Amino acid sequence: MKQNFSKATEAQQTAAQEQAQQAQTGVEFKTVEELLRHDAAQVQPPKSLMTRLQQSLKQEIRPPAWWKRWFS
Amino acid sequence: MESSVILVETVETKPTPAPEVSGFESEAFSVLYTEHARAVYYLALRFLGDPTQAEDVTHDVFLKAYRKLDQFRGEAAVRTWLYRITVNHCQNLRQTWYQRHIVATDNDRVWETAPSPTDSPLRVLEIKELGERIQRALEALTEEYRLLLLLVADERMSYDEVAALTQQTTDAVRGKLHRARKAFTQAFQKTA
Repeated sequence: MKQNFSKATEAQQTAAQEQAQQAQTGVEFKTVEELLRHDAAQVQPPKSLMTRLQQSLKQEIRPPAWWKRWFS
Repeated sequence: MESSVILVETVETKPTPAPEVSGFESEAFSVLYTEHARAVYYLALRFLGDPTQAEDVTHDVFLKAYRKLDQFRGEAAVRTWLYRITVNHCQNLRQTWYQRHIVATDNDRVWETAPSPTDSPLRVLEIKELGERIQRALEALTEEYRLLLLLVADERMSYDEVAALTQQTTDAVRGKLHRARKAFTQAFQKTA
Protein backbone atom coordinates (compact mmCIF):
# COMPACT_ATOMS: atom_id res chain seq x y z
CA MET A 1 0.00 0.00 0.00
CA LYS A 2 2.79 2.30 0.98
CA GLN A 3 4.61 1.31 -2.18
CA ASN A 4 1.52 2.14 -4.28
CA PHE A 5 1.25 5.51 -2.62
CA SER A 6 4.90 6.10 -3.30
CA LYS A 7 4.46 5.20 -6.97
CA ALA A 8 1.46 7.48 -7.27
CA THR A 9 3.41 10.34 -5.75
CA GLU A 10 6.29 9.64 -8.06
CA ALA A 11 3.94 9.64 -11.05
CA GLN A 12 2.44 12.91 -9.93
CA GLN A 13 5.88 14.42 -9.56
CA THR A 14 6.88 13.19 -13.00
CA ALA A 15 3.72 14.63 -14.53
CA ALA A 16 4.34 17.94 -12.78
CA GLN A 17 7.92 17.97 -13.98
CA GLU A 18 6.80 17.21 -17.54
CA GLN A 19 4.24 19.99 -17.33
CA ALA A 20 6.83 22.43 -16.06
CA GLN A 21 9.24 21.35 -18.76
CA GLN A 22 6.53 21.74 -21.39
CA ALA A 23 5.78 25.22 -20.07
CA GLN A 24 9.46 26.05 -20.38
CA THR A 25 9.88 24.70 -23.87
CA GLY A 26 6.40 25.50 -25.27
CA VAL A 27 5.72 25.44 -28.99
CA GLU A 28 8.57 26.00 -31.36
CA PHE A 29 8.35 28.13 -34.49
CA LYS A 30 10.96 27.30 -37.08
CA THR A 31 10.91 30.52 -39.07
CA VAL A 32 10.23 34.21 -38.66
CA GLU A 33 7.33 33.81 -41.07
CA GLU A 34 5.75 31.21 -38.80
CA LEU A 35 6.04 33.59 -35.88
CA LEU A 36 4.42 36.39 -37.86
CA ARG A 37 1.63 34.09 -39.04
CA HIS A 38 0.93 33.15 -35.46
CA ASP A 39 0.90 36.82 -34.51
CA ALA A 40 -1.43 37.64 -37.40
CA ALA A 41 -3.83 34.95 -36.26
CA GLN A 42 -4.16 36.67 -32.87
CA VAL A 43 -5.01 40.05 -34.37
CA GLN A 44 -8.57 41.03 -35.20
CA PRO A 45 -9.69 44.27 -36.81
CA PRO A 46 -11.66 46.28 -34.22
CA LYS A 47 -15.44 46.04 -34.31
CA SER A 48 -15.69 49.81 -34.68
CA LEU A 49 -14.15 49.40 -38.12
CA MET A 50 -17.20 47.50 -39.34
CA THR A 51 -19.53 50.20 -38.13
CA ARG A 52 -17.44 52.92 -39.75
CA LEU A 53 -17.28 51.05 -43.01
CA GLN A 54 -21.02 50.41 -42.97
CA GLN A 55 -21.67 54.10 -42.49
CA SER A 56 -19.24 55.04 -45.23
CA LEU A 57 -20.78 52.53 -47.63
CA LYS A 58 -24.26 53.88 -46.98
CA GLN A 59 -23.06 57.26 -48.19
CA GLU A 60 -21.67 55.78 -51.40
CA ILE A 61 -23.64 55.80 -54.63
CA ARG A 62 -25.07 52.42 -55.62
CA PRO A 63 -22.16 50.36 -56.94
CA PRO A 64 -21.99 49.81 -60.69
CA ALA A 65 -22.56 46.58 -62.55
CA TRP A 66 -18.94 45.42 -62.45
CA TRP A 67 -19.56 44.11 -58.96
CA LYS A 68 -22.18 41.78 -60.33
CA ARG A 69 -20.01 40.75 -63.30
CA TRP A 70 -17.00 40.22 -61.14
CA PHE A 71 -18.63 38.06 -58.51
CA SER A 72 -21.01 36.09 -60.76
CA MET B 1 20.49 29.14 -39.13
CA GLU B 2 16.75 29.77 -38.91
CA SER B 3 15.42 30.98 -35.61
CA SER B 4 12.92 29.26 -33.40
CA VAL B 5 10.21 30.67 -31.18
CA ILE B 6 8.79 29.22 -28.01
CA LEU B 7 5.28 29.95 -26.83
CA VAL B 8 3.55 28.94 -23.64
CA GLU B 9 -0.06 29.21 -24.69
CA THR B 10 -2.15 29.87 -27.75
CA VAL B 11 -5.30 31.90 -28.29
CA GLU B 12 -8.24 30.66 -30.31
CA THR B 13 -9.21 33.04 -33.08
CA LYS B 14 -12.45 33.63 -34.94
CA PRO B 15 -12.98 34.72 -38.56
CA THR B 16 -13.51 38.42 -39.17
CA PRO B 17 -17.24 39.17 -39.31
CA ALA B 18 -18.30 41.21 -42.33
CA PRO B 19 -20.31 44.41 -42.18
CA GLU B 20 -24.04 43.71 -42.28
CA VAL B 21 -25.17 45.06 -45.60
CA SER B 22 -27.91 43.98 -47.96
CA GLY B 23 -28.25 43.56 -51.73
CA PHE B 24 -26.07 41.59 -54.12
CA GLU B 25 -23.38 44.20 -54.55
CA SER B 26 -23.09 44.71 -50.84
CA GLU B 27 -23.03 40.98 -50.31
CA ALA B 28 -20.12 40.75 -52.73
CA PHE B 29 -18.35 43.42 -50.78
CA SER B 30 -19.00 41.48 -47.59
CA VAL B 31 -17.22 38.51 -49.12
CA LEU B 32 -14.26 40.72 -49.98
CA TYR B 33 -14.17 42.19 -46.49
CA THR B 34 -14.52 38.87 -44.70
CA GLU B 35 -11.74 37.31 -46.70
CA HIS B 36 -9.19 40.10 -46.59
CA ALA B 37 -9.93 42.54 -43.73
CA ARG B 38 -7.79 40.77 -41.18
CA ALA B 39 -4.79 40.57 -43.53
CA VAL B 40 -5.06 44.23 -44.52
CA TYR B 41 -5.44 45.33 -40.91
CA TYR B 42 -2.51 43.21 -39.76
CA LEU B 43 -0.22 44.53 -42.48
CA ALA B 44 -1.15 48.12 -41.61
CA LEU B 45 -0.84 47.47 -37.88
CA ARG B 46 2.61 45.96 -37.98
CA PHE B 47 3.86 48.28 -40.70
CA LEU B 48 2.76 51.45 -38.88
CA GLY B 49 2.78 50.19 -35.29
CA ASP B 50 -0.36 52.13 -34.44
CA PRO B 51 -3.77 50.43 -34.01
CA THR B 52 -5.72 53.64 -34.64
CA GLN B 53 -3.86 54.37 -37.85
CA ALA B 54 -4.20 50.73 -38.89
CA GLU B 55 -7.96 50.98 -38.43
CA ASP B 56 -8.08 54.17 -40.50
CA VAL B 57 -5.97 52.60 -43.23
CA THR B 58 -8.12 49.45 -43.37
CA HIS B 59 -11.26 51.55 -43.60
CA ASP B 60 -9.81 53.65 -46.40
CA VAL B 61 -8.44 50.64 -48.27
CA PHE B 62 -11.82 48.93 -48.41
CA LEU B 63 -13.62 52.11 -49.29
CA LYS B 64 -11.15 52.69 -52.10
CA ALA B 65 -11.55 49.08 -53.23
CA TYR B 66 -15.30 49.58 -53.33
CA ARG B 67 -14.93 52.66 -55.47
CA LYS B 68 -12.11 51.47 -57.71
CA LEU B 69 -12.99 47.92 -58.49
CA ASP B 70 -13.45 48.86 -62.15
CA GLN B 71 -9.71 49.55 -62.23
CA PHE B 72 -8.92 46.06 -61.02
CA ARG B 73 -8.00 44.14 -64.18
CA GLY B 74 -7.52 40.75 -62.63
CA GLU B 75 -3.84 40.66 -63.56
CA ALA B 76 -2.96 40.18 -59.91
CA ALA B 77 -4.80 38.40 -57.13
CA VAL B 78 -7.31 40.44 -55.13
CA ARG B 79 -5.13 40.13 -52.04
CA THR B 80 -2.16 41.58 -53.93
CA TRP B 81 -4.30 44.41 -55.25
CA LEU B 82 -5.56 45.24 -51.75
CA TYR B 83 -2.02 45.04 -50.38
CA ARG B 84 -0.83 47.47 -53.04
CA ILE B 85 -3.46 49.99 -51.93
CA THR B 86 -2.54 49.34 -48.28
CA VAL B 87 1.21 49.75 -48.78
CA ASN B 88 0.75 52.98 -50.75
CA HIS B 89 -1.55 54.33 -48.09
CA CYS B 90 0.81 53.38 -45.26
CA GLN B 91 3.82 54.85 -47.00
CA ASN B 92 1.98 58.10 -47.61
CA LEU B 93 1.03 58.25 -43.95
CA ARG B 94 4.59 57.61 -42.80
CA GLN B 95 5.97 60.19 -45.19
CA THR B 96 3.53 62.79 -43.88
CA TRP B 97 4.36 61.85 -40.30
CA TYR B 98 8.12 62.13 -40.82
CA GLN B 99 7.70 65.48 -42.47
CA ARG B 100 5.94 66.72 -39.35
CA HIS B 101 8.18 65.14 -36.72
CA ILE B 102 11.93 65.31 -36.39
CA VAL B 103 12.89 62.75 -33.76
CA ALA B 104 15.62 60.26 -32.95
CA THR B 105 15.10 56.86 -34.53
CA ASP B 106 13.19 54.29 -32.53
CA ASN B 107 15.95 51.80 -33.27
CA ASP B 108 18.32 53.48 -30.84
CA ARG B 109 15.75 53.40 -28.10
CA VAL B 110 15.09 49.68 -28.64
CA TRP B 111 18.78 48.86 -28.29
CA GLU B 112 19.25 51.10 -25.27
CA THR B 113 16.36 49.63 -23.31
CA ALA B 114 16.75 46.01 -24.36
CA PRO B 115 17.98 43.61 -21.69
CA SER B 116 20.69 41.07 -22.36
CA PRO B 117 19.91 38.35 -24.88
CA THR B 118 18.55 35.04 -23.59
CA ASP B 119 19.71 31.58 -24.56
CA SER B 120 17.01 31.23 -27.24
CA PRO B 121 16.88 34.13 -29.69
CA LEU B 122 13.10 34.16 -30.09
CA ARG B 123 11.89 32.73 -26.79
CA VAL B 124 8.52 34.03 -25.67
CA LEU B 125 7.20 33.36 -22.18
CA GLU B 126 3.91 35.22 -22.34
CA ILE B 127 1.67 35.35 -25.38
CA LYS B 128 0.55 38.83 -24.29
CA GLU B 129 4.03 40.20 -24.80
CA LEU B 130 4.51 38.56 -28.17
CA GLY B 131 2.78 41.25 -30.20
CA GLU B 132 4.72 44.00 -28.48
CA ARG B 133 8.02 42.24 -29.02
CA ILE B 134 7.28 41.57 -32.67
CA GLN B 135 6.34 45.20 -33.14
CA ARG B 136 9.55 46.42 -31.53
CA ALA B 137 11.63 44.02 -33.58
CA LEU B 138 9.91 45.08 -36.81
CA GLU B 139 10.42 48.74 -36.00
CA ALA B 140 14.14 48.10 -35.64
CA LEU B 141 14.25 47.01 -39.29
CA THR B 142 14.30 49.17 -42.38
CA GLU B 143 10.89 49.86 -43.89
CA GLU B 144 11.70 47.60 -46.84
CA TYR B 145 12.73 44.61 -44.71
CA ARG B 146 9.68 45.04 -42.51
CA LEU B 147 7.37 45.11 -45.51
CA LEU B 148 8.98 42.08 -47.16
CA LEU B 149 8.72 39.98 -44.01
CA LEU B 150 5.08 40.91 -43.50
CA LEU B 151 4.20 40.15 -47.11
CA VAL B 152 5.92 36.76 -47.32
CA ALA B 153 4.42 35.77 -43.97
CA ASP B 154 1.07 35.76 -45.78
CA GLU B 155 0.83 32.25 -47.19
CA ARG B 156 -1.31 33.47 -50.04
CA MET B 157 1.52 35.61 -51.35
CA SER B 158 4.12 33.97 -53.58
CA TYR B 159 7.64 35.36 -53.92
CA ASP B 160 6.75 36.43 -57.45
CA GLU B 161 3.74 38.37 -56.20
CA VAL B 162 5.78 40.02 -53.46
CA ALA B 163 8.39 40.92 -56.07
CA ALA B 164 5.75 42.43 -58.35
CA LEU B 165 4.18 44.32 -55.49
CA THR B 166 7.48 45.76 -54.31
CA GLN B 167 8.69 46.36 -57.87
CA GLN B 168 11.83 44.24 -57.87
CA THR B 169 12.98 40.83 -59.07
CA THR B 170 12.18 37.62 -57.26
CA ASP B 171 15.89 37.00 -56.72
CA ALA B 172 16.25 40.41 -55.11
CA VAL B 173 13.33 39.58 -52.81
CA ARG B 174 14.94 36.29 -51.80
CA GLY B 175 18.26 37.95 -51.05
CA LYS B 176 16.73 40.74 -49.02
CA LEU B 177 14.50 38.32 -47.15
CA HIS B 178 17.51 36.36 -46.04
CA ARG B 179 18.99 39.50 -44.53
CA ALA B 180 15.62 40.64 -43.19
CA ARG B 181 15.11 37.38 -41.29
CA LYS B 182 18.54 37.67 -39.78
CA ALA B 183 17.98 41.29 -38.77
CA PHE B 184 14.57 40.46 -37.31
CA THR B 185 15.99 37.60 -35.25
CA GLN B 186 18.69 39.82 -33.79
CA ALA B 187 16.21 42.59 -33.05
CA PHE B 188 13.72 40.18 -31.52
CA GLN B 189 16.40 38.77 -29.26
CA LYS B 190 17.13 42.23 -27.93
CA THR B 191 13.49 42.77 -26.97
CA ALA B 192 13.50 39.84 -24.50
